[in-house]
Amino acid sequence: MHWINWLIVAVYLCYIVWDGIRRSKDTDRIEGYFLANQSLPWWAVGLSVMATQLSAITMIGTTGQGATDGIRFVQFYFGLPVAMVILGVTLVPFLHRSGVFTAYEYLEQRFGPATRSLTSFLFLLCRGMSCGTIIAAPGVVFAAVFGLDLVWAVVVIGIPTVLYTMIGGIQAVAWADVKQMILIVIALVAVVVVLLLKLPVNPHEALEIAGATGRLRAFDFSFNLTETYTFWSGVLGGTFLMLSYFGTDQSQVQRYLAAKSVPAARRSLLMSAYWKIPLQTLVLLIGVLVFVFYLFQAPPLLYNPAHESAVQSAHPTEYAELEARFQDSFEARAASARQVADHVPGAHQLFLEQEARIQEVREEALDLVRETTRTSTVRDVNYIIPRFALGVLPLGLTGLFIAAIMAAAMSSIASELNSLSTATVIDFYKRWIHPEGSERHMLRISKIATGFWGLFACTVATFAANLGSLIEVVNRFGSFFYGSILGVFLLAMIPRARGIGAFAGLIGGMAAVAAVTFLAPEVSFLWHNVIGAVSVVAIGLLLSAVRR
Amino acid sequence: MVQDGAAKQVVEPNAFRQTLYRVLLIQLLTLGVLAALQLLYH
Repeated sequence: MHWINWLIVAVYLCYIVWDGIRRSKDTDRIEGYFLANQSLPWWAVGLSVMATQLSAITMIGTTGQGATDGIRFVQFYFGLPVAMVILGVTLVPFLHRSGVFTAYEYLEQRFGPATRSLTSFLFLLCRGMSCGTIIAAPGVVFAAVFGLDLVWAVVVIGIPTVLYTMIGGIQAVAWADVKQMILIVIALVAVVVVLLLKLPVNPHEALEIAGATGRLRAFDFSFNLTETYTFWSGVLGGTFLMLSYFGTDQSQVQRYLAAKSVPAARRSLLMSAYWKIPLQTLVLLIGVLVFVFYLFQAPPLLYNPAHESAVQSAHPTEYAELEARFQDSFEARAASARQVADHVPGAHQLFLEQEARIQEVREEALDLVRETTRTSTVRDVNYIIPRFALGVLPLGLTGLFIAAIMAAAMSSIASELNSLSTATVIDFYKRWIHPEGSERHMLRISKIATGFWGLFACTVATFAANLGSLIEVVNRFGSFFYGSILGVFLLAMIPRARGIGAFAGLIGGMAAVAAVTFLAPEVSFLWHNVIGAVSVVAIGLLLSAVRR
Repeated sequence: MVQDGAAKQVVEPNAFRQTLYRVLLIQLLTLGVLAALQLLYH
């Protein structure tokens, strides 16, 4: 990468850390450190909520998914606006007015210490691990693309984030989120502009070509429990998932607990309700446009440069032969893509056949990678956008885009570290170990806890050699109890529910999800949230009635 | 202290309805654009 691009990345990193440390002035008490003294304006909280949800996986993985699979992934977010409206009128006023630091603290007021401790412990376990994968995802890609050691890639992303989160608390995190979100949107829009300028066809023709491959099919109305991305799984399963994430996950709850007032907290969530689907559509469309761009300009046979060089040295003859076939197929596909744009009769079918041939060659190349690296799960979808950014974007914009990927990663990591520290200190240290500790002591422990979780996440990230399976494990593990925790919060709003019902319901809900996972593994994970939440409410109400 | 029975919540029906309409309108516009993309380019 050109030194000017590196300079842009370095300036971004220095500015974010300096700005974070500057914000530490107002955080001399834990209420300031964890809740910004409930002083943040709605728009800052709203941008922080969005930045927390949008990680580097969105910037790298979702754009790559747009290039390979189209925009149907957008259905995943169809339940989000519904969830935000429900939360705005139910849970947000409850939590904001009850003066709690964590969502789980509220559960003690309602159901007792056992339910609070268990839900908080489950949050720490899942978020601690997922924070590691959030660092690892861009770390692994950067390591391969820039030829860095994974440890260095993790250090470059992780250490500055830990530093400003540890020193500045939520003030630093939220205000950094605001700047990072602005940087991300600017970079995404700039990439769309560059793509439109560089495409050899006009936007209408580009969409016609993309549409011919089915990449513009946003809706799938089939009711299929085994298909993850359908309209119904998005609206029903997605609503439950988003209710769980925004209503019970401390990394999100803490954002709106720091808002000035209940109306400000509500407005901050509604910002996501308005903008999340359009933003996600933009991200996916970038992937679709990159796919169209690579129809006319030869892409690399393998997007991961580390795989490319490994296969080139292990199987030079086979790889050269595959590259020659790839080049021939690419030229034939480019010609038929142009014919699709020109509405030549029969071109559509021919184009699809050429596309299938290219995918065949690519699959053979990936088989060579599997053989060379002795890994069964080899995917290079996450490398499409970084390779595009390094090879095609103009000088300066490449640096800006790499900084935006880092911003997306750092904004999510910082919020998670801050919330992990809050749950550790408030739900465990202050509750069980040292309830009478002074403000100064608690602040010191909070900073130590942030540093500990940062170190833990970086360590998990460093050992995430087999990233694909790790993310799957974390997701599956999380889906065991995500819906169940939501069920406990739903129970909290039902007057007749009792503590014993909530605790047993939580265990029962997780058991129900575990049973579905093992007995019917084909059921998509989005439905696990519905099953967990419904089971907890049913078991909780039944037991509460029996023990009345 | 364990508190039995949920706290009472106050929801202003008009404000909620207005917010709901606004969110619905923006979502319908977005979904309309997505539907148009799917129908026009297939």
